[in-house]
Parts: sequence; structure tokens; C-alpha cells
Amino acid sequence: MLVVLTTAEFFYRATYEHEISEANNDIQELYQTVAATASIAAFLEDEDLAKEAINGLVKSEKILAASIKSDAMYYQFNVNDAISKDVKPRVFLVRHPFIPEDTLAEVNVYPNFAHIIEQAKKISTDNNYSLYVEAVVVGIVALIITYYIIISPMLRVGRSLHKITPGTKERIEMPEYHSRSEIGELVQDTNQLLNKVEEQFTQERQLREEIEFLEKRFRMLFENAKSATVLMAENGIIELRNKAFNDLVEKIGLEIKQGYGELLEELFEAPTAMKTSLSEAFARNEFATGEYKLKSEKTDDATWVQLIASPLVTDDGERYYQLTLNDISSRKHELQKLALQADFDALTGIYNRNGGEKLIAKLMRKDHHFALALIDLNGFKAVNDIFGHDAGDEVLIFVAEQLQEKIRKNDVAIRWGGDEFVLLLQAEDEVSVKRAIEKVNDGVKQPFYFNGDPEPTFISMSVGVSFFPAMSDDMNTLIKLADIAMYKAKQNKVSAPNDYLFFADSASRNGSQ
Amino acid sequence: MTFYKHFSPLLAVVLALYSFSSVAQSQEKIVVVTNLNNDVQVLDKKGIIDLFMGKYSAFPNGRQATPIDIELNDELKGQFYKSLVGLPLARVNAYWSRLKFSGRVKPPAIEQTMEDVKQRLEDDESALAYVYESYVTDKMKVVYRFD
Repeated sequence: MLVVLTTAEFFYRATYEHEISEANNDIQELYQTVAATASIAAFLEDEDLAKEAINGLVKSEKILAASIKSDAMYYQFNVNDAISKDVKPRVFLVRHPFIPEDTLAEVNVYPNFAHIIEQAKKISTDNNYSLYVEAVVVGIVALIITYYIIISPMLRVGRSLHKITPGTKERIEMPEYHSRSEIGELVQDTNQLLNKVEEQFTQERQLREEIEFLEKRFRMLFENAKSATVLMAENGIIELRNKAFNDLVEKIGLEIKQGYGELLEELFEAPTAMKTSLSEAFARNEFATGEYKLKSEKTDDATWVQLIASPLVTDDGERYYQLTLNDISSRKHELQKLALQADFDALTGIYNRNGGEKLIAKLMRKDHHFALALIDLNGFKAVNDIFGHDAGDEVLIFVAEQLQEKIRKNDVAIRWGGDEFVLLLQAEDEVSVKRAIEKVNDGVKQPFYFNGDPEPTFISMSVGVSFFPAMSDDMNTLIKLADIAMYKAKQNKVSAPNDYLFFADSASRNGSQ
Repeated sequence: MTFYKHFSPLLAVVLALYSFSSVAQSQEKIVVVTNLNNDVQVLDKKGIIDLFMGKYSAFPNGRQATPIDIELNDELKGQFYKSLVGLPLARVNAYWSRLKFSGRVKPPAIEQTMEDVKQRLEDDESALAYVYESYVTDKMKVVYRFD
């Protein structure tokens, strides 16, 4: 609008100047039309002609007044008005019609400036109106063109960009006729940017999937590990634990909570030993390992774990411990079972020599008085030779059963080796020993049928007895004494089968020593 | 070329005749004459213009003047006005036709031939006319000569 106003003012000025100059030209031309008449009038000194010329001039709106003056005549129209308006006349010299060198008169023409100005104003106003109209039209056209060529495509581009989710296949549609314009370039650049974003999103997604996949696997590994594992801060707070750990805690009857003290000390039966051992290992910058017994609040079975502890230092300098507790209780039980096997005879299920010796040692330590009866089977070798080892085994099992059956509750039967058995009898005198052995002998003497064999087989035994502590407080001596006595009894196995039991005597004891 | 062979001699003749006649005309001088009895002895060009173009109808001495135009000799008439006011006859006629409406200014009186003009000059003491110099008789008085 300012431009239009300035332009309008400029146009008015220019038009005014132009109109003034036009008016001057017009006045010149108007005078030319009456110049001949004025010339003749001056020549002939004819007032009518002079009037005709002057009136012809003032007929024009551009001329306010005019006068003609020669030596012989004077005629004017409206000159006083012009003079009162302070209008300066244009002076034209009237030439002789036939002798152009001669000047006969003078014509004064007073331009109608008011009219000229009005005319200029009118023209410039018209100009201004057309200027305004033109400006409005041009403005509207420019707006429409700008809207359809620039704003509308920009808006569409903007809207579609707004709708697009980065990282997807969506792209901004190229506006029509804009493939080569700045907007087109903008769209292309933006689409390229979107391409890059999508590419990066895809890469990131793949990476994330890979990481998730790995994490899942690691989690599975960790969660499903049979070993109880925790990641623990230095203050004992457990940052990470797996199911096996919780199961272990529940197994020993503790509640599941955030931490169990420094290095899980609350779990252990003897935390001090464990902590000392671990601290030593950590001080050497090694991982610590050891077997420890856990507290047992619930079960009677002891829970043993193999503890593997390693200190970890993060990039931030924080210290953590990774503690793995392998439940080795079952292995412990196995070992105990193995130990049990060492003490018992696999074939007969009664104590073996090893177990028997331990038992004897134990009884001696506790100063329990007992009688040691060493039994040797007669006829066993023949059975073995005739019927084979399986039959021999059957005999041994049969004997062991009889021994177990016939002895008293507090007595113990031991397979000493081969076909030798030992009975530890809670007795201090020969009578009670004799009574007990007789019962056993009755059982062993029973006829024994091998499968399918109608002929019974008879097994007999020879027995030698020594007393603790009456005869000796040394096990080997006791055995030796019993062995000698048994050997004596063995002499009678054919001649006097009922005299199968002999007691060791002091003499032979002494002799043996 | 054939064209020039035919027409160039003819063209030369025409050109020769034209130049001869113009030389003859330019040599034929015009003078302004009055009745021998007229008091006026001499007139200047301006005075002749004033009389022939209608400004005055009397000689400087106050006696009536009657300028005479020749009707049937345009050559003479044309040469006269050309020499006097520098205008062709058409313009001179236009001048008169414009003034006739006012009625106050009278154009010159009209005689038909050179003979008529000569007769008028002899008969009319106020007559003022233009003739070829060779045509001047002893009954006329030359008051102006064109150079």
C-alpha cells in the first residue's frame, strides 16, 4: 500500500507537470488555429475578426482569458479575472499576413491553471484508481499464483511430512510441476533424509533384535543354570540372582530377601571360616573356591555347596562379587554311601572286616566289655568246589542271615573275610557266650538245599572266643587269641563235631605275645 | 535500354522547351500602373499590398483607388501575387473567400482580358492594375516595378 501511495503521488506530480506542458503545447496549438485570423484582423484592423480570434481562443477550457492589442485596436476577454488570479499570460506576436517580417499586434493568452490542475488531478485520480485496481488485481493474482505454486505444495509437503512416521517406507509425494523447483529439491532432500533414517532404524532394529536374542539366551543360561548364581554388591545387596539360588535358599528354609549379609554369610553354618578363606583368595587377586556346609533350618539333611567367588570391578570402579553355589549335597551323600560301602560286606550286607575293626576300636575306646567270637565254616570249600562260587555265595548269605537272626540286639555280626565271621557279643563270661553261640550254631547247622538239589547240604562251624578287656585291650591280640582257640576247635571238627567252641586261655595268650 | 532509346530524345525536347519558356517568362517583368491622369506618381510595395489585399480603398492622397484583377490570365495574376505577397493564387483566393462574409472588405474589381484591363486603365482614373512591362502604353503610368 505504501508503494501504491508513493507511486500515486509520483504519478500525480508527473501528470501535473505533463498536463502543464501539454496545456502549454495546447495553447500554442490553439493559438496557431486563430493565428491566421488574428493576423488578418491586425492587417485589416478588423475588430470583428479580432473578436472571432479571441473568442475562438477562450472557447477552450484551457484558456481563462485572452487579448489582442495593436496600434489601431484592442480587444480582450476575461482578462481582468485572469489578472486578479495573478495568472501570467503567454505572449504571441501577430505577424503581417503578407510581410512576415512585420509585427502588427500582440496576443496575450492566460492559461486556465485551475482547469489544468483539475484535469491533472482527474487524470491522476483515474490513474490512481486504475493503479489501485491493478495493484489489487496483481496482488490477488500473485496471491493465487503463490498459493497454488508455492504455499499449497508446501502445505501438502508439510502435512505429509507430519503424517510420516520416521523409519517406515512412507515418503513425501512430489508435488506436481515441482520436480525441478526448490520445493522439489526440498522434498527430494527430505526423502533422502527419510531413507537414511529408515536405514538407520532398520540397522538399529536388527542390532536390537540381535542383542535381545543374545540377552534372552544369556538370561536363559543364567536363569536355568543348575548352579545358584548371584551378582552381589560389596554391601551384600544382591543385584542379580537366578532361580537356582532362590530354590537353594528355600531348600535350607530361609526366606527370600534382598541380601544375606556380607558374602552371603547368613547362609553358611560357619561363615567365619568361609569369609576368611575368601578374603585370603581375594587378597591374592584370585577367585576363591571351597566346599561349605549351609545352615539347615528346615531339613535334617545337610546341604553342602561348592562356593566359587570371584570379585568383579566395573568400568566405573564399583566392586561386585559373583558367587556361584553348586549344591554338592548329593555328592556328599554319595561319598557317605561310599564310606558305608567300605564298612559293610557287599554280598551279605553285614559289617565287613574294615567296618568290624572300626566297631571294635570304637567299643574299645568307649570301654564297652565284649566277647569276640571268631567263626570259621567247615565244608564251605567243598561246596565252593562242587557247586561253584554262586553256591558258595548262597551259603555265605545263608550263614550271615542266621548270624543276624540268632544274635541279640546288641550283638554284632561281621564277615571277617572268606568264610570267616566274627561276632561281638555283649558278654563277659563263658556261659553266656556259650548260650549265644549255641543258638547261632543251631541255625547254621540246619540242612541247606540248593535249588533243585534233593540232597541237603550241611554246614558246620568252629568258634574261638576271646574277651575284652579281660584277655587283652589290643584288638590284634584279641583276634589272635580267638584265632588260636578256633584253630583248636577245628581239630575236633570230624572227631567231635559238638565240641566246636573253644575259649582262649591266658596261657596261650601269653604264649602268643 | 530499349526504353531510353525511345524516350530520351523526346525527354530532351520537352526539357528544352520548358527551360526556354521559363527564361522567356522570367524575362517578362510585371509593373503596376495607373491612369495617366492619376496624381499618384509612385507607390511602395506595402502600399500596393494594402490596396490589393483590401486594407485601404484609397490612395495615400485620399483619392479612391480601384485595384483591378485580371480574370483570364492566371499566369500574370499568379506571377503578380507571388511577387507581391509571396502566396500562390489558391491561397489568395482562400483569403478572399474568408473575408467576403464580413462584407466590409472588398476584393479587387475584375476585368476579363488584358485588353479589358487596358481599356479600364484608360477609362477609370481610380484604376490600379498590374501588367507586363512590355504591355505598358503611353496612356498608362507606371507607379511600381517588381525587381
